[in-house]
Amino acid sequence: MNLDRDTILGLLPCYVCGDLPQGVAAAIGAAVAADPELEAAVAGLRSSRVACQEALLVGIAELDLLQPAGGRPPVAAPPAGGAAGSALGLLGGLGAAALVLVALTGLGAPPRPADLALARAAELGAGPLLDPGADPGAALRAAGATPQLALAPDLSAHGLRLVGVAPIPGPRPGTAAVYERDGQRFVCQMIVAGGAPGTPDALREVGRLQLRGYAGPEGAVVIYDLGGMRCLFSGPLPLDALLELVAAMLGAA
Amino acid sequence: MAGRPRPRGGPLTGAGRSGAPSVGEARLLQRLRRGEPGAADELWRAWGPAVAACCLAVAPDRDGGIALARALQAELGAHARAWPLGHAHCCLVAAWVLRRVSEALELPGLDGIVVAVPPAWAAAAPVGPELQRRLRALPAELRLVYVVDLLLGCPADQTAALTGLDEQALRHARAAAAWKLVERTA
Repeated sequence: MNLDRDTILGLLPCYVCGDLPQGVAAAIGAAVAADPELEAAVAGLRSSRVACQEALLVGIAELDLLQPAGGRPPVAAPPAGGAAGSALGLLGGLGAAALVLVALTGLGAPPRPADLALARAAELGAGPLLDPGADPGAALRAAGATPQLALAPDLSAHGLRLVGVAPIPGPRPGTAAVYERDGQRFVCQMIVAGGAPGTPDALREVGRLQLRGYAGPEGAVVIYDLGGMRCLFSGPLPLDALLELVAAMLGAA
Repeated sequence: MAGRPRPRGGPLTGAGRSGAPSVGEARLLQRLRRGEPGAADELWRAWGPAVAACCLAVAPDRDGGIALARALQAELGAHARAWPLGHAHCCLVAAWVLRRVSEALELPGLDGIVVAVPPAWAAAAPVGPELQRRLRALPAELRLVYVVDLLLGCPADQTAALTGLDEQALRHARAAAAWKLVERTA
């Protein structure tokens, strides 16, 4: 397919957002690969999307709009369903995570979100994951994750290699990215921010962010809200060490 | 239009851009239709941040944006019960937000939008106040289309089918807004 330069430029924003028929996208991709000016335009358009997403979501969590109109959300209900295809096996694993959680916390007292995060992380660390490929966000979206949660940060600068991603189903859906470092697995779970995460075992301020740390039997979890999203980062480290790692990831240490 | 659009290509392709519902989404819509308690809240928890961000981005001021987001939150359940099956929630929410925000703010239509490709562009987008300034400088109807696409990610043909808007006009609005954000100024 031959497209003239004006046509390509006009279509470039839709190419960047992935909303063109395959043939047209392939033709534009070839043209971009051969033209540094077009390549720069793609880079600019792509970075503007990322920058806008961040700018638009900053502060949304503080609006107190995320609590349901009809009452408090359940803290830890079993997953209600899930994404399609290869994610189905994973969802069974997350159902098991809910059972692990019940076993850990008992039925009488409501579990802390941190307990759920750790139980899920244990299952996610061992269970089937989706191949993140070159675009982990696309893999998550393909599994049914909402675009604002389809994130898997690049943590390679901290020695953390992304090994897989997964949607998290249930009443408070989210996504998870699983990383590996020195044979140990770390899990970054992203959900929509809202509700208090419970009294932490340790607190740390990083700029405007407040990191809440929770110690578990075989690791710890650090929870923070950013741009309307809540990140629950867990790993097999003592709480202090995990807080240090998350602070470093956020550029504060 | 059917819920299974043609395959797409490009850097952000995949089912996330297909407009087809996941199994979980189909189940949630069934629960909404049955009037199951909590189903509307579940839907809001998944999409509320994006909806609120769209409202804040397009309303003339912050208070107006918050009020609009609250109004949409209150009516989401009732609207969603009438949503058609076979569409991804991102598309259903996108169409609903486009319609409702346009109505509430009395935004003009998308006719006659010209995609003005700038003579020069930046390889890195502006950030901070400059980005906010450029977003705010966009006509509200373009801003709405752009941020809805950005945060909800529905293919233009699906959005057009669900809203009755012209697909080409939606694409032009997106493209016009996107180019304005990266235009290199003196």
